[in-house]
Amino acid sequence: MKIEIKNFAPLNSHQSGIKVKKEILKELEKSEGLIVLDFEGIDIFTDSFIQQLTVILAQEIGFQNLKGRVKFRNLNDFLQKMVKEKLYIASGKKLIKREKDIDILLKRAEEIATQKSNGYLSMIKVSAGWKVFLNSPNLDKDIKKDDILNIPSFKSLDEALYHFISKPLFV
Amino acid sequence: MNIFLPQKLNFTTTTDLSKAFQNIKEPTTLIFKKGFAQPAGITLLSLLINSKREFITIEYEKQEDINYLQRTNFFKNLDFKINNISSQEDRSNNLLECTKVLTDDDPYDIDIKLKQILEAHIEGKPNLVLGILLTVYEVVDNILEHSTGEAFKETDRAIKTPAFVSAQYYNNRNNHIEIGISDWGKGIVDTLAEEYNELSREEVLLKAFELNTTRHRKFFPSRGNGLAKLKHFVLLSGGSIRCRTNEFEIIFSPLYPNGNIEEVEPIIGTHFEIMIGCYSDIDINPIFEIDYSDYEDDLDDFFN
Repeated sequence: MKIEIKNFAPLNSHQSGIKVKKEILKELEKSEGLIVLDFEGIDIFTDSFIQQLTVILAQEIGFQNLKGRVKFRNLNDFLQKMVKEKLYIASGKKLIKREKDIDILLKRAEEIATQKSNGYLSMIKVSAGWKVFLNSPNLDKDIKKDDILNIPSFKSLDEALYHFISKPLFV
Repeated sequence: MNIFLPQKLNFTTTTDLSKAFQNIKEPTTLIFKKGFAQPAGITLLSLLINSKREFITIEYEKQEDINYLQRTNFFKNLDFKINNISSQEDRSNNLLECTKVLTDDDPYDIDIKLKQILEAHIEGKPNLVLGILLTVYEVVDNILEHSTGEAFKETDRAIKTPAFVSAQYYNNRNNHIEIGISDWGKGIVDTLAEEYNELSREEVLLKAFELNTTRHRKFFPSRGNGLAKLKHFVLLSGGSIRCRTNEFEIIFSPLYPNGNIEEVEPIIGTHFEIMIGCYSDIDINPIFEIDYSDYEDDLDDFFN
């Protein structure tokens, strides 16, 4: 049995998720076959919508039953990740973030440096605090002391990175 | 009584007007002058006028004093009869007109129009588009969920006093999109305070922007991630969130990534000004990824 999710759009609330969930529960009672949730044509849904089809549904029918009877098809990569996150929680595991905020910030700063300064990025700690800026000053020749002084300083590296992301400055 | 509206109608100037509106008890004329209006100012002013609509008339000298607001559907939403209604051709593809949210069906129009704006302006940045759409989806869902403060309803929702949503894409040196969202509900702190009675009111407000915060902790253990994820996304775009609710204003910005709270004049409802930087695409996967490596094979079964 296939349920076309696009018929329930917009998929932006617990309530729209509950409508799909009720359809699944009805089908689960009717037959013993697989229920395929077809996400063809769907490029977005909210956290609340997908919780109903994963975490909450697993609470109601049991995770093993959900695993044996329900399949998710035609999800784009991003949405599949969201569903996996919820299924992980539905399985009873505690959510652990793989990356810390600082790793995500560093990755974002690197992306910006790649786009704006051939990947050159500097992070320095001075007496006033952390400074992050584009380019790498040549330490042997032209240390642009005044330019570096003009870069704002922050108590922590993550604050300096957040500022850099919003306003990437060159030295 | 007359109220002269500021020529710069934004989040700050409009929140400053909220007390004057709360005190309206007699016929009052709002006087409009040509100026600059931003989405968060438009949505909050819509809400303030709506709350005292029976007392309010409007006045302006020239059509140009109200042109922009007219294009945003501001007067139409509030049932003011104005001549020279702007034609469809005048509408810009930078603007999500101010839209009322009353039921579960209303966000549908917002989604369609917002997608059009983003597709017109943010080409080749698919993750950024997805992040912006998710941000609006989450906040609008929150409005419908929390506006009344009632128990969770499984069926379609409806709120008595409309919320308003508006957005504008600014294609300038710091190209960004500003989203204004205002509702007339209980406010974030009052909504969550009972569930988190071990925390101070400031801590409750900060908690609202963290993962797994919900007023239905026992009912939905993993619920309430929307605001936390959108905060993370907005900060990674180089943008900011300002939120005025109950007796507080909270700001998340590059200067205040962990939030800065100020105690201010209490206000009815919750009011957001969300700025999202659009200058480059963002890898949004880390915001949603988790470590499920010990379970990955089993989870893959769901997709085969």
